[in-house]
Amino acid sequence: MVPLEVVVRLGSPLAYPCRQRPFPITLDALVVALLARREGRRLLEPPDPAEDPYAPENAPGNGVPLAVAGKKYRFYQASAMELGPGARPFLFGWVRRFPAEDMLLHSDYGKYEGDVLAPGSGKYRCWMERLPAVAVSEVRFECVGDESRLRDLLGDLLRTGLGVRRAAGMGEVASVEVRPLDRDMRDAGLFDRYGRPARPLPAEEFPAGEERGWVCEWWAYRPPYWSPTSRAWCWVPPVERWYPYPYPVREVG
Amino acid sequence: MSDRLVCCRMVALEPISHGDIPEQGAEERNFLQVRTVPWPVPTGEEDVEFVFIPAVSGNSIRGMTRRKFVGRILRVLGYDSRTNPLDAEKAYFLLAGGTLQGSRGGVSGREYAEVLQAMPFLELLGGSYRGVFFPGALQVGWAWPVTKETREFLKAFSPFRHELDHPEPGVQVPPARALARGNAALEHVYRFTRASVAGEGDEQGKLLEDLERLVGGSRQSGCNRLREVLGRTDLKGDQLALAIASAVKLEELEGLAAGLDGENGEGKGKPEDRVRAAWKKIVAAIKGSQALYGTQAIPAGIMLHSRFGLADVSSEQVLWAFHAFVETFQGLGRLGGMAGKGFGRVAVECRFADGRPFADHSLGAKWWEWLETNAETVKGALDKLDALARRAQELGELRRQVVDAGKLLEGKDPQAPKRKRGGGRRGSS
Repeated sequence: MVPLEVVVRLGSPLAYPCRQRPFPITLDALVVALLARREGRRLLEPPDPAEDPYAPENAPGNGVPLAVAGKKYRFYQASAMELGPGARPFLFGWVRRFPAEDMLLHSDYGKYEGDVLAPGSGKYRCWMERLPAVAVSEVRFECVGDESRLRDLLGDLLRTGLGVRRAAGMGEVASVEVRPLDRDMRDAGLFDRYGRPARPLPAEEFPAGEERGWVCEWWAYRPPYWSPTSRAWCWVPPVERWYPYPYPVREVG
Repeated sequence: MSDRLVCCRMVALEPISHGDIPEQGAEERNFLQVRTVPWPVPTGEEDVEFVFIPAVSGNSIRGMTRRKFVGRILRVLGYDSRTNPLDAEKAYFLLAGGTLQGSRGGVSGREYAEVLQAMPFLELLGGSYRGVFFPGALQVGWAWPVTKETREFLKAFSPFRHELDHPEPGVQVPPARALARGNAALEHVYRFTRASVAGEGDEQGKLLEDLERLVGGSRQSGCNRLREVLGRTDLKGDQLALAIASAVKLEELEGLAAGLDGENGEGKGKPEDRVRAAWKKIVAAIKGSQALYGTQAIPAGIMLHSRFGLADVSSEQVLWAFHAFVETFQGLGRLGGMAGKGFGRVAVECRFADGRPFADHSLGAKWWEWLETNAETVKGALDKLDALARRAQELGELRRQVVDAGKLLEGKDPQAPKRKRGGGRRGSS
C-alpha cells in the first residue's frame, strides 16, 4: 500500500443530485461500488456492519485495495473528490416525454380505466427538471492503496461514468490515471495539501479539529455512504473542494 | 470489458435539431434553441475559456432508442393494441421507465430476482413499477461534435482515432469556437409555418363555414371578406371589433361563440366589448392549428461521436440485449427531433472499444433468438410484476408502522404533517 493520486478525466459535465443535499464522491465509495458490481452483489438494504464484506473492519482480505485508518471508528484512507481547475457551474435541464405513439401500438392505452394516463398532468405527465452540474476537465482523489488493483478496478469507470444521471451521459469518463504521489504522505487521503480534512473524518478520532476550526457535521464516514448505520459526527471537507461554491445560477446555453 | 463499451462515429447528413430548455424568465421565442454545453478551450498556457458548443444529450438518444427497442420486444412477445394489448401502466413502465410516484419502499428477495432474471432487458434499461425499482446498467453518452478541442478528449478512449484525425472529404473538423453559441452556424433559425385551415368535416373547417355564412353573400365573397378581416393583423382592440362588427351581426357572432363553449350566447356590456369577447373565442378556435415556428440546428456535414457503456451485469442475456440496443440505434440512424421535416439523419458506424467493428461481432441476433424462445417466460414475469408491487406496498406499510412506533416512543406525533423540502413544483420521480 503506497500513497497514490487518482486523476479522473471527464468528458461531460459532472452532475449533482436534484432537490437533495449534495455530498462529495469519495474514492472508497467508488471502489466498493465497482467491486460489488464485479462480484454481482447489490445492497438494497442498510447492511449489518458485521456482515458487510466491504466494511473496513474486514480489511485487509475483503478485496478492497485501500488502507484502513482509525481506532474506534474504522474507515478507508481515501479522499473525497477535488474538482480540477477552472470548474464552470451551470444548470442542466432534461425532459421526459410520454411515449404516446408507441403506447397506441402495443397497449390498451386508449381504454385504460385506472389512473388517468395523461401526458399533461398526474403521475404520467411529461416533465422537465434542472440539475446543478459543473463543467470540469478532471477530478482528483488521494489515497493509500494498491496501485495496480486500483488501476484495474477504476478502469470500469469508462463504462459507468461518475456522479448522478450517468445513464444519460453525465459524468462521462475519458481516462483514469493512478500514480504515486510525488510527495511522501503517510496521511494521504485524510488531509489536503493545506492540512484540512480531505474526507469525512470521525470527530472522536481527531480531537484537534476543533482548535483548527474545521466544520463538524453528522456525516457518513464509510461505505455504504447512503446507510444511516455509517454515520457519526465528522470533520467534513471544505465545500469549495468538491462543489462550485458560491453557486451561480446559469442555465445551459 | 471491450464487449461492454461501444463507440459510435456519426456524420450528420441533415441538420440536427435538439432543443435546449429555456432559461427561467427568458423571453418567449417561437423557435427551438439548440442545446449547448460549456466546453473548455485553452486561451493560453494555463488559462481556459468556456465556449458553449452544441451537443445531443445521452438522455435523448437513450429515450428514443428505448422506445424503438422495447417496441420491437413487445411485437416479438405478441402484444398489439387491437388483438392482444398490454396493460397501459406496464407499457408505460417498459417504454418510458415508469414512475416513482406512489413508491413506498424497495423490495428484494427471490421474487424480485426471478422477475429480473426473466426480463434481462429490464436489468439493461431499468425502471420503476408501482414502487418496485429496477436499476439500469446502461450508460449512453452525449453525442459530441468533433472539433479540434473535443477530438483530443475523444482520442483518449475512442477506437476511431484515425478517422478523427483524417475525416472523409467534405466532413469538417472545425475549432469549437466556429460551432459555439453566438456563431452564425448555430444561430441560424430554420423557419416553418403550419396552415390554419383544417380539412373538410373538421371542427375548425365547420367553424369557418359558419363564419362565412354569418359574413353573408356568396360563398366566395363571404370567404374573401372573412379572409380580409382575418388577415388584418394590423387591427387590434376596438378597431378589430369595429371591423368585425361591420361584417357580421353581433347576436349571430355571439351565438356562434356560445356554440364553442356551451355558454349563454347573450353577453353584457358595450357592443364592442361583446364583439371582442366573442371574436376572441372564435379566433382561438380557428387559430388552434396555425403557427409560425422554427428551430436552430447543428449543421449537416459535422462529425459526431458518442458511446454506449454497460456496467457489470448478472447474465450474458443482458449483454446480448445491450448489443441489440446499440443495433437499434444504428438502425434508427438519427439524432434529435423533427425527423419528419428533414432533420437528424446521420450515418452511423460503431466499433467496440478495442477497435473491432461492431457489426461483425455483435451478439444482438442472439438476443432476439433468446426472446422468441423465452417469450412465455417473459410474459409470465410481466404478470408477476403486480404481485411484486403488492409486496413492495406491504413492506412499505410495515416500514411506515415501524417508523410511527419509533416516533411514539420518542413522544412525537406520527400523524404530524411532514415538512416539505424544496417546495414549489415537484417532478414525478
